[in-house]
Amino acid sequence: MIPITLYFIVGAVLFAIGTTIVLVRRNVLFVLMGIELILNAASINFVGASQGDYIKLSGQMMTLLIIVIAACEAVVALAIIMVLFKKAGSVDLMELKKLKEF
Amino acid sequence: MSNILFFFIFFSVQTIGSAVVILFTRNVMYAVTALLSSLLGVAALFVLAGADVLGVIQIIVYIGGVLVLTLFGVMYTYQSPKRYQESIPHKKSVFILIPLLFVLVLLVQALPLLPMIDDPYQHASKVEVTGMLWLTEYLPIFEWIGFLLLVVLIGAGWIGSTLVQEDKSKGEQV
Repeated sequence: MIPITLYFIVGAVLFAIGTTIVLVRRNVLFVLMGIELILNAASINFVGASQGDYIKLSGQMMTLLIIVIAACEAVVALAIIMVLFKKAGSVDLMELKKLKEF
Repeated sequence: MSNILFFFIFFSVQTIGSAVVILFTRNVMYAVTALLSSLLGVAALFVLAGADVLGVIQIIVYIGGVLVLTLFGVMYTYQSPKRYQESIPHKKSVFILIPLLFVLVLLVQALPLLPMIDDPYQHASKVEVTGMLWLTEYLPIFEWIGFLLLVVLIGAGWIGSTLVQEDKSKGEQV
């Protein structure tokens, strides 16, 4: 069995990178990928913590939920990006000035 | 260093390295490819933790679904061809050396220890247990997931349909 600490370290690093991508990048598609990375970091933590749980599999069930939520999020976000691109003509978050409140 | 631990470190380096590539690259296409690599690494980490079902689901849902959707987004928001061109050509030796190195390292580690019937694999496959749990103890959650998916299906279709309606009204004006 791999020490749970190692899973937590990988999850933490992945979460940090994902958060940085969400905060720093200007392309909406990059932000979407950053969110995927954050959700994956959470999944890694859950799976790593439930390694010895052979009966209830709680962590794995939770991870399945996370995967479903991530898929839903990607679908809705992509629909929004399509509309946004059609209306604003750009996926650069800095150019989407119309969303500002005066 | 135990065998399992080596593979764990290998795949975590793959996952984190690809994430760093997403962080630094300016090309959206490279970023999607790096995301593919990162998600594959996460699937491998799941398998190493004994969650074989989750590894398969990760590959099916993420790489078969989410990644293709993201690729569609990249294609849809395509603007200028220069963004997808490689400005600095790599040396050909790099393309040969890196895969060789990987294969060498993997073989050196894996071959002497081929009967890997150790750690997570001493327990049976999780497929049966997972299915039983979903249809007994976690049945309400299962139903709610279905409901959520229905809501997302209708919602995303509705958001997208505003585009179609606008196109139609524009067509009528012209």
